[in-house]
Amino acid sequence: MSILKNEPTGDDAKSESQNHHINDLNIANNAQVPAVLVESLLFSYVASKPIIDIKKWQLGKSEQVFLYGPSGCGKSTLLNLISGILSPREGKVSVLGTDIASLKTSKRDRFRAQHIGVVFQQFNLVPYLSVLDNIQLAMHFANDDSDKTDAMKKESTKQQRIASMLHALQLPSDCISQKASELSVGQQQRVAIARALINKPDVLIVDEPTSALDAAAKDAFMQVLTDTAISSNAALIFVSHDQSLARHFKRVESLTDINYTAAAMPEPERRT
Amino acid sequence: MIFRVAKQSLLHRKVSVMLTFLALLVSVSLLLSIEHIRKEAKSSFYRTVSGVDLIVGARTGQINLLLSSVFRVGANANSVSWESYQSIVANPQVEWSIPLSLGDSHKGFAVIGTTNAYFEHYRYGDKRQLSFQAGGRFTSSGENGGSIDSENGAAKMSAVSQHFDVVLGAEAAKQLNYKVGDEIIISHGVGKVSFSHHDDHPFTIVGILQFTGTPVDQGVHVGLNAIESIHTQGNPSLSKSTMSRASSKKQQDTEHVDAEHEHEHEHEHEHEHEHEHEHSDKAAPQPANTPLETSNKQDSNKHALVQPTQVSAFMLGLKSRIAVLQIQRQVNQSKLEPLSAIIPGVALGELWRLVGAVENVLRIISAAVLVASLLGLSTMLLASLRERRAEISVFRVMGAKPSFVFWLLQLEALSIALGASVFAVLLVTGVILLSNDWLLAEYGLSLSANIFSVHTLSMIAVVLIATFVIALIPSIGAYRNARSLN
Repeated sequence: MSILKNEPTGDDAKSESQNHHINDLNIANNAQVPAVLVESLLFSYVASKPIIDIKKWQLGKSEQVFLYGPSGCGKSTLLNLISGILSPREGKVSVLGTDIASLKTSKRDRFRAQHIGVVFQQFNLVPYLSVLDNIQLAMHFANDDSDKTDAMKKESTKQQRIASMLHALQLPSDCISQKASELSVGQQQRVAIARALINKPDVLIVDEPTSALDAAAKDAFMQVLTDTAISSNAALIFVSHDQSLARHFKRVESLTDINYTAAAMPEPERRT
Repeated sequence: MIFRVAKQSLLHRKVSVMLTFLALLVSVSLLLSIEHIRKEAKSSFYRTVSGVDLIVGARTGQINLLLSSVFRVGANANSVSWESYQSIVANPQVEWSIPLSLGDSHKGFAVIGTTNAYFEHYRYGDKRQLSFQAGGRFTSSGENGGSIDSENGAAKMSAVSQHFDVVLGAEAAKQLNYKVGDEIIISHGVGKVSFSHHDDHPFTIVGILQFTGTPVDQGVHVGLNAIESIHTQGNPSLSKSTMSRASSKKQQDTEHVDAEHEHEHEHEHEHEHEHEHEHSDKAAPQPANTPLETSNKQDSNKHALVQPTQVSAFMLGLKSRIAVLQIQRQVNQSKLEPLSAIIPGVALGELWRLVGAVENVLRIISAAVLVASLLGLSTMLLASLRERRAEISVFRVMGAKPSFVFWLLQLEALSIALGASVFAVLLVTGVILLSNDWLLAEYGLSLSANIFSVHTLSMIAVVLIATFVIALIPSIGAYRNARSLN
């Protein structure tokens, strides 16, 4: 279970402790702090038209959830809110007990790089960089400058970690020096998973990663994804409109059930 | 890491990067070479003459006098009488003087009648003295045309075998393919084609000057007396043109044609006599302190030595620079005849203001070239920004700060500009080094290959700053893009 990631909360608590003392105490003291906690969340791009209205939703550590819903029900918006790219109008999104929206821009960037891994439908890798460079770049962004000894320690084991990650994702070992654009789409998505997981995130957000894959590749990919997420000790939020993928998950939820606006919205749409 | 990413990113966009690089390379090279040539032109212009305190000639504008005496362009219609010359030179403040007799040419090259003082005191550039690549100065006899052929010198009164010494400028020697010891014929007038050839006055080349990058290179220098001698004997008709050869060139040429017909010779003689009369009263005996050294052979051939009656202009070196204005005023108010004295630096400055418009044109051209290329650079960056939208969002997904994206684009733009600038410096230096001989041979242009200067560096700095400013447009665009992602 925690082969790849032995004490990530300890590491993170150290690096974040100066700035988020209270939050880190929460992490340290209360193992029951959910990976993601959404409370009274309200968001809209245009003031009169709320897109997200969630009373309460949470995801436990290492828990895996499959969120499905038709397009336009606010899936991507919710993911952007959780990853801190968007800020809620009202309410709170906490990741590991930290209210992302309350962080300053640069802290938020660092927090996201260290705690949240994201894989999108496409464009997850810098096409002209090698697989190794892509993953190292992600490590570089997450790397805390105040954490020199740890960084050096990482340096010695970096290659090894990347190699074992790629191996776990059943990628051929020689692909490490290939450019991202030279890989097949399925391989690219796996490298994207590796890149998202290399910083040992607490939450892995995956948004329609299989839409470009055929059925056989989809199943293989899903298997690798869920296994790796578990072994990385990361909570997994998997979003798709494809309900056939639901069988890979224990917890399956429809976004329309959680999101009140989404539940209300299809009705007027159907009428018109 | 950002350097690695920038490098890979540039490699990824090889074609458009190369095109932008080449466009910038060409324009920065152009910019550097135009600026370099502009600076070199200006400095070589100001280097034409130095160390001369005053130039004196018959009354005329200072630019006219400068052009005729230093640049050998045009000619002053009037001359300075030998008497006036001597009286000014006699001033205790005068350290040295170079008399100049101008207006003749040899195969298109200006003939300058002067004395050895010319090689002694004339300065160009950084107060550099003229030096010889071959031979040396006028010999004392050759300067005055006093050397005679012992066999027939006495027999032929028209002094057929007189020898005059010639010192050639580097460019003249090169183009005419003359070497020391060659005998040449000097003709009249300033045109390349002249009808009057003094076949009876052979000139012997005794020295060839080093290249100076000034009009001296085009000069054919002979003794002051040599010019007087040709004009007063052998072909007497020509003596008149000593007076007014530049002002009445056409008339002169007709005369020369006429002169070739023996039977019209008498008619021409009358002209000569008039001329002699006019000046007989001005021909003063040579004072002791004259820079002209008279050969003792002159007595043996009374036709060989003709006392100079006039000079076109003369250059003065003073003992103290403080005396410059004083002497200038004295000369300008001279009662003997109307004269002008100019300070070369002042006159050069005034002349440069006239021709300096070229300098501004060059500046405008180089600025336009730079602006055009920078616009090209920003176009390339903006165009690439569109196709990089996805890439930028990837960086953000990976956890990159917007500032990373900003600096990535800046780094790419700046490295293209820096690379282009460095290569431009190398290119321009290389081209100047390779083409220096050719430029010297074809255009008499001597460019310093050292284009490194504070000026060059500041220009490159301007290029880089301009690149940074222009790259702000796409970079800020990318930054904004990165802020409002997904």
